[in-house]
Amino acid sequence: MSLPLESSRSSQAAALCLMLLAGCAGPQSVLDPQGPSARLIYETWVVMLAGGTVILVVVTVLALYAVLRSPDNRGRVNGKALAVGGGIVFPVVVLTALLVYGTQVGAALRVASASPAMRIDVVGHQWWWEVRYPLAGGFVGVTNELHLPVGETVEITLRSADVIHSFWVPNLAGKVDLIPGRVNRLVLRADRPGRLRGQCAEFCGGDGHARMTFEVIVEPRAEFERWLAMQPVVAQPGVASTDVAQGRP
Amino acid sequence: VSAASSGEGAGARALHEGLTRIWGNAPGWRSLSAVNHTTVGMRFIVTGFVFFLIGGLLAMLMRSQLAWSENDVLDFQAYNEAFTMHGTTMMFLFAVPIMEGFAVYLIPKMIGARDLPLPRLGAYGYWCYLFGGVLLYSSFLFDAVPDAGWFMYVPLTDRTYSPGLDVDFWLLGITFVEISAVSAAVELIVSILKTRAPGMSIDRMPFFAWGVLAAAFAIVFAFPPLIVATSAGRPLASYTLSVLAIVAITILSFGLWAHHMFTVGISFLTLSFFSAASMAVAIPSGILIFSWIATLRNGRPRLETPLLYILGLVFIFVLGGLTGVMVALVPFDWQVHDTHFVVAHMHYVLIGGVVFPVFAAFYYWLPLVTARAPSANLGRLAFWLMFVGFNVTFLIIRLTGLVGMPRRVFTYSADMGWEWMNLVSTVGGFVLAAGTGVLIVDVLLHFLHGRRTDGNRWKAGTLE
Repeated sequence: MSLPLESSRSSQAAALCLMLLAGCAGPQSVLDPQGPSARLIYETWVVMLAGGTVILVVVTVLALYAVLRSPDNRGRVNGKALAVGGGIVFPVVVLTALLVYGTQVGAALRVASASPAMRIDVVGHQWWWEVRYPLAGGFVGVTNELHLPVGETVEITLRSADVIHSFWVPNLAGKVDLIPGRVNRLVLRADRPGRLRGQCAEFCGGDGHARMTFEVIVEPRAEFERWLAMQPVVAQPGVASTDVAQGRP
Repeated sequence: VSAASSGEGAGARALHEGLTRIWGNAPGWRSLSAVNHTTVGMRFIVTGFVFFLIGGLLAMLMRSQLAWSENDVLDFQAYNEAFTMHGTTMMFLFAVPIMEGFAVYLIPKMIGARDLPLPRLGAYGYWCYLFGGVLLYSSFLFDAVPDAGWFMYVPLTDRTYSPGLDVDFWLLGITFVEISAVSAAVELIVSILKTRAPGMSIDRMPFFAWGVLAAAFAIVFAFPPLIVATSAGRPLASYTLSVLAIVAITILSFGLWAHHMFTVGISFLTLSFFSAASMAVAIPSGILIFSWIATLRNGRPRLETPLLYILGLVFIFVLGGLTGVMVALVPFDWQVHDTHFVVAHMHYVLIGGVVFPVFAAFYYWLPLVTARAPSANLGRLAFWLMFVGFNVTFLIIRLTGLVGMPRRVFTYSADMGWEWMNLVSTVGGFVLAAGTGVLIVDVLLHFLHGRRTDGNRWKAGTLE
């Protein structure tokens, strides 16, 4: 009698696990890194999640023990020692280590972005993405889609035509804001061919912010070239590769 | 007030009567002109709580909209207005004023003063606050509700992109509320520095007075220690260290603002400085948490309603603090900035740092105000509904953010896989709201039918 119940329970548990896993992977997920930047940041998340969970459990157990355990069955603690140990020594050590680690990750991301193979110009509009591939004497312009050659380091310049937007492809890298009057810069690399999704992450008004998404198509160089060759070239003499303000890597 | 000079006793008596006349409440409709701190403080607290309920209602509307993909409970306009007004209300019309209310009510009683030194300023502050809040909400009558987010970023909020009157309603309303906050702060600083009872040197004054003195934000840290101390039946462990910690949090908080700007493209070196400052907040916060634990550990804690809220607060606040350290790590913030992960983080910090301490304080001082014993069962039920509902809502929202959901989107597509997470959050949100409902019923029943007792329900040695 209990067997079917048991098995349905375990299949429910399996379904829940699958659902969680399926929830973590996905075309727009921090937890499913597809490039070196996103992978480095994902590793910091795993480290901090593990450390944070341990600290939360320890503090909660200490607090519950202090309240629930009968006072007659326990010794006293030195309040000052606990506050100094738990409140100063421990966090200073852990946070210093974390800060050094975070700075190294930041530096590694910068090194990874040192020599991009190509440049793509992105302009944010209310409420769509303009993506331009600069070519000699002009550019190829497309809307709401970003084609990337797989395995190549790409520099993306980010401008806004109106209000503040934010460019975010979580599977590839962290987000960078598009600020009117400023040129920001993001370097990323996609390691696997496939389709990903990006979305505006800074509220930009109206009904469009929630739908200001774009498709990211990662494909082998040959296919990328073929796609690019099929697009009409907009002539724009004299404005090939202009200067780009130094943003973060 | 001129004291009569016919003997010391008569002079003191005349002085007392003169002061009573100034601070006493006039009867009838003229009671609106009340200036005494007990009345003004209560008005701040009650008004703040009403705004909390309105802000909560807006949150429930948003959660209903997000429960399913492509839902149409709210259209984009209503949703944008709801999140703008929810954030504005909870920050400016609830969190800050209700803290001021507790401070205005308690500080003179704690430091042994007759009243606040600038009574008309206190009353002026209250009316500015009420006027500002009503002005902001009157935008609903003119169909000009602010909808650009409570940060009011330009150029989205300038004439080109927000041509209506909505931004003006926001700016004018919040200006009045800020006048109120500044006048309350001035009054409390003067009160603490100048009107403490004879013999109460600054290193002996109640810890709460330090919190109020340090800054409005720091007030939130000042409620728990005193409740902890009384519940444990012991004075607060490491008073000096705790005072230093609360002052440090206040000073550090001035160096944090740039953590809102990690993604705008400023240099990594600059970001590292603000990253370090943001992480450093964990140190004084840790001191406070561990000194409470030590106080409880060495005492005989009585697990009554206020202490239950404090335990809930410790859990929520530590979790919020840990994710605070995470988002202070610049590369990680590049991913989760402006997503639902950050929404969850700030709700952990603000609900752990403001709402739970306020409710704990509420239960703690209610007997002082009403001289009635609170009901144990309803208070506990309200706590558990709120605690469980809160964690169900906001733990899962972290995941929703990590799998790519940005904040401030009124809808999402079904194939993003965010639907079940949002549905769970919505259910949790309604459990949290039900807990708040039980709390209101409990407080109303308490005022009507509570068992009479003396004001010192918790056998505390002091008002702290």
